[in-house]
Amino acid sequence: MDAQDLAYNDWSITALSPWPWPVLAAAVVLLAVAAWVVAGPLRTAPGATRRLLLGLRALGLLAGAALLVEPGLQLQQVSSTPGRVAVLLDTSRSMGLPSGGEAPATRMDRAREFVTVAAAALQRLPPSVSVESWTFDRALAPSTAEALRTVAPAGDRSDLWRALTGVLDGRPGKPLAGVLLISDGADTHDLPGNGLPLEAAERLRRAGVPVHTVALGAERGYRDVAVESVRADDFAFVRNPLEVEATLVATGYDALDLPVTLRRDGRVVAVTQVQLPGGGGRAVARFKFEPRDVGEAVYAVEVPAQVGEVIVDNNRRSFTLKTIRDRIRVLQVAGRPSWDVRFLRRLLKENPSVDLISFFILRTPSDNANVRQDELSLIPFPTRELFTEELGTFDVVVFQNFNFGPYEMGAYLPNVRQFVLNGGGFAMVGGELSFSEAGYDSTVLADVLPVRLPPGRGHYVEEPYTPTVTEAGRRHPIMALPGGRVGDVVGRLPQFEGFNLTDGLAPGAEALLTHPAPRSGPRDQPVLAVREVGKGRTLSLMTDNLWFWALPDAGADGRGTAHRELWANAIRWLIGDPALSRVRVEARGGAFDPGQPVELVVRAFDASYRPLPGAHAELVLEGALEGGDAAVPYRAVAQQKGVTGPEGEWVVRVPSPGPGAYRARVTARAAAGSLGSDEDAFLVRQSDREIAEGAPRPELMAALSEASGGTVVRSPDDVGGLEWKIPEGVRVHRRRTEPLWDRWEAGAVFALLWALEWVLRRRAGFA
Amino acid sequence: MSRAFTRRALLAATPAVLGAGAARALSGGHNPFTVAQLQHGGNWNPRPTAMRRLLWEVSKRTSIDVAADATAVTTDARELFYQPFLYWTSDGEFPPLDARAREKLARYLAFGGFILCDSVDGAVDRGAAASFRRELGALTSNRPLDVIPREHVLFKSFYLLDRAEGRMVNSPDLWGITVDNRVAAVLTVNDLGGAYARDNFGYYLHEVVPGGDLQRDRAFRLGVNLVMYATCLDYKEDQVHIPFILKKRRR
Repeated sequence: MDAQDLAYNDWSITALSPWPWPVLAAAVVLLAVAAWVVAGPLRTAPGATRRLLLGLRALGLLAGAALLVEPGLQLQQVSSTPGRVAVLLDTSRSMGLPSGGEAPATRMDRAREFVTVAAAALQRLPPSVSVESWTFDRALAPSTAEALRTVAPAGDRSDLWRALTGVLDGRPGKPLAGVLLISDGADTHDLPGNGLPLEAAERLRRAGVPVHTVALGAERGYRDVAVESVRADDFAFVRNPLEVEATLVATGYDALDLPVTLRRDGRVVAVTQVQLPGGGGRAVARFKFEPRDVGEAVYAVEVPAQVGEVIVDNNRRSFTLKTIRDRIRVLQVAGRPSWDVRFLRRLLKENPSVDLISFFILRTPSDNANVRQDELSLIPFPTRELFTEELGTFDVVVFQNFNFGPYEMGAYLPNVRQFVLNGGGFAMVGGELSFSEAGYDSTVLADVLPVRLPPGRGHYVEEPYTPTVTEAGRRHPIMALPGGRVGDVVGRLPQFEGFNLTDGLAPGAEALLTHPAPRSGPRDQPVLAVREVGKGRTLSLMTDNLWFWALPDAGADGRGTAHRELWANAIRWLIGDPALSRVRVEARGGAFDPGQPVELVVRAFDASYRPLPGAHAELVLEGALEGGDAAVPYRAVAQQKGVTGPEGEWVVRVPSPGPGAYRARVTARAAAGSLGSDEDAFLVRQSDREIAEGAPRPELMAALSEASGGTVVRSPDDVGGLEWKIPEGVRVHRRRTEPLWDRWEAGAVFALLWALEWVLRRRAGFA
Repeated sequence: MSRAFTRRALLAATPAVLGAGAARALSGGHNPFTVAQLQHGGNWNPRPTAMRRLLWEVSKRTSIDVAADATAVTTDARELFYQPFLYWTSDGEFPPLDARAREKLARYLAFGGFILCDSVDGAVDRGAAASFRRELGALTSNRPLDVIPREHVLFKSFYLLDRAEGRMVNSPDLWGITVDNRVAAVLTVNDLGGAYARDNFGYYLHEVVPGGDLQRDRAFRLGVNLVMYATCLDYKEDQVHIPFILKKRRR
């Protein structure tokens, strides 16, 4: 053996014969039988001679068998299958918070004590199992056992799930025998609440690797009151009731009777009293109030700090809420009841943000109701009141297949035009009583419509067609229909069967839908067109078939909602909803840590909602410092001017303006005029999330253990008794085989034995 | 619009068209109001000319542009969903609809359809009325039908009415089911169609009891109100109308 052979730590005898075992066995049996048969005469030989000859013959047979089997010596270098145990230590800032026990110590102090004591127990694991040390905060990082005893809690996030999956997925060649997770459970990334999401639990179950958890921070004596969560709508209507629900939790206290305050931009909005059961019990505080100001604002729910409380930053939870204008007042005037009229009325009535006044012409002078007037529910069409005194109170006016002629309305149409120029929204919907059919071509209202009307009657056409979505239509918010690319969505909807011909688009108007190839008139006739005119916006829908996108679409197994969605978008666009403004500002993330620069993105769009480069924008940051109960006016804290880049975006980074609630207001202009304004609210936290959301979550840690088959470790002394998934079996690293009989000496021995047996047998007188 | 014309032309080639399949709007205009009539396993068309007459009366009395006649449909017909007013009548019991038919009708109601159920056999709790209650219940998870209160807008959507009458007055009530705050289906047990049906010479086919021609006209008024409600919903409930209506009712 050479020096390298010293590394072999295992050997065995093996057969090297290329013949299969059955053949070898049969050959040995045959040889034995043959030897027995021919040995018959030897039984008469004297005792010593007989024994000598039979012995030689047996040795010869054995040598023959050995030649057939070709035994060899197999040398091996083997080891047990290796495994690893991962020790994960949370190094986020929340680990620097007090542990909550009687002795003053941080969670990290407790963690260090734990890893020091537990190290001895981990040393007793089988030699094949290595112990890996990791730290984690926002990401997982390799460490050493020594480093774990000195590491500082400095991470700005806790991502438990990323850390766990990181070690579960890592190093496939070295199976994981288990994880020892040391943390306060205050995840600030993926794992909200105290439970474990089903998918996460399932993932741990499938992995089959026990995760033993050491939950820090919730020792006896830990005291905390927290606003755990806040539930509110995404937006509210000004002067309409709004409900906000906050869930509060108290740990380490007996029952508490606490005032809970709701603030808007620092001003007290409402206060309610809540009784909190002690011992981790929860209670819900409900606020009902009517926001009085339009715009985005930062709201906060807070409870006062209690004596001995470990974390006071979680006594307050902030959120942003957009309050939009009062309900949208819509006037719907219809020339006669029809399904198109009915479906529009239905969706407007069901929309809680719309205050609808409808006027339908139920009877014309030529109709005969066959009764006295007082048996009818009809009222005169109040043209004068509606189109002089009341017109300005509406946000949107819809003329739906309405012929103004019989109702002496001509004198009021200039009022409608002025209503648009002053900022109102106006929609004209087609039909056989609308557009040129009603003679609007010769009225002042034609000046503000998005389409040019041909003179005279006879322009209402009946033929089936599928409208085409134009390039502008693909971007325009009115055409934001769910279900895929808008062109495909419209292609799947029922066809229209009628439309009002036009002489094309008015200046500055955009067609969103067109009739690609009408039988008469020019191609690409506008079916849906929009226009910004004066301060207002107008819309022309050149058909009374839009309701086909409701019930008939549902009958064809469609969603049956495109009619509703398009009209909802149209109403928002007509009123100039800030959400559809052509300039928008967004505070990325909505909340920033202390000291973190505030990043805002300003986007500008042209009339077709294409990104608009070169727009000049002015951004003002206004802050509302926490000012107690008194009203605190916003004060400007920063102001910047900029121009949108090639993508229509201007990204603004502002140094942190300090903790508080802020709003960013932007106005923008392009060569064609004002793009409007927008605002967004954001919060700069008093403390970072690690502290504000640093309450220990032992329930989450227990859930991780339970899902993975691990245990909750109460004391470092328990580490020695933990169950690990130690890999079974051995791994062979090297192997060498030395043939024992595959050499000429073996053949010589075989021949010598049989020759000796033959000579002695002859001399003894046997054949 | 041409919906009634184009579809009617197609349907005229099938036996499912009622009457002569006269596919012409009375006004000669566009966008006519149409009525679909449901074919089912029972006596589904006991008053063949009733809807034609009602449509004519609606055209004469109101501004609604109407088609000349109703269209017979099955629940599988694509046409059903283009005609949000479904007339469902029967003389006597009819067999239960199958699950697919019920599913279609439930979808029809959910997305804005309106069903008028007219029992012509005179029974209130048996016959066709019982079948209607069974089927309407099946469409609404077996919710019982509610009596529609007299204050409901249905009784003032065009005419001011205080009861429901037809060829008979078995019950002055209407029953209905509500979907999304609107009455989506109405049941009458007074043989409404019987009050409307006329022969080709213009004579009414059935005597109206006990009220005679005045009752017949009130039956027409109810029909007009039902059409108005289907096409205008609760329009007359808008605040602007209420003072006028209350004033007239006080007179």
